[in-house]
Amino acid sequence: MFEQAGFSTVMVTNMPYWSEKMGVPRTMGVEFPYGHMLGMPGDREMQMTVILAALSLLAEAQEPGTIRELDLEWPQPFDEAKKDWQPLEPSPVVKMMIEQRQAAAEQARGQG
Amino acid sequence: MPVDSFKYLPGSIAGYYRNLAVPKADPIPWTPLRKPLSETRFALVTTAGIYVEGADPGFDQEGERRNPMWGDPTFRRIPRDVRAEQIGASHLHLNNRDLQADLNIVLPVHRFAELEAEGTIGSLAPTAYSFMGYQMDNREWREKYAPEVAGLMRDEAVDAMLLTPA
Repeated sequence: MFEQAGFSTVMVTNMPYWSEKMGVPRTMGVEFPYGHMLGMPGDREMQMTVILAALSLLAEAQEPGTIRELDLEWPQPFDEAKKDWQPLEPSPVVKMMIEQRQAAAEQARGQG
Repeated sequence: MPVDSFKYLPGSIAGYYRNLAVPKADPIPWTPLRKPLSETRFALVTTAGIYVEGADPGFDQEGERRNPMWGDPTFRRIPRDVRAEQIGASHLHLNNRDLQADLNIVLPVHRFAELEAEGTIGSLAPTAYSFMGYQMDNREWREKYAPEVAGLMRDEAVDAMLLTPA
């Protein structure tokens, strides 16, 4: 949308899978938890590393659909990071899915 | 080492995503960068659902609670000189603690001001933009709000954008 409007764009995402599937002009993939695409809070150096990589991609990419990946490890232990990004209470759609699953399980028990 | 796009997702959601069919843009839209970075004017865009407290309302969380398949497609403007304590966050799919502690992890206004000062980029536009990333149906976003944002960026002579989804 923005590219068609005449802007050059670069996206930093932890889901380069989607970029490949949907056709995003320029993608810098990072293996970071959701809501943290540019790095750890308070870590200026890490944020700059990600941003400069994205800017280099923007300047150098020659064809639409270019995907690069940044080989930078998230500094937090995996289990902690996987839990930390998630909301304290489930989002409305996840809550709905949990309730539907419980209702289906109860119905199955009733029939069994 | 290739990036694992599903690493941080709960298993049930990862399975849903893997099976989701999405149309691929054909051709993939493309605007070549016309200037060196040192002359390029940037706008920052995030979908972290942030807003300036006191200036704008948050995104419509009640509407999403009433209809969990709907997400607020509107946008908020964030001035580049915003202070961290002014940032409100209304994304129901994230823990917003870290981005409220340091806005730069989703909207790097301070990092880009530094890049502007040292001459790495031409400039950072006065205004950044925030959407809320949970959009199951992006028609209204695509037809109404994204074109509005494009118009506002044109008014500020923006050349290029850094996008940080959330």
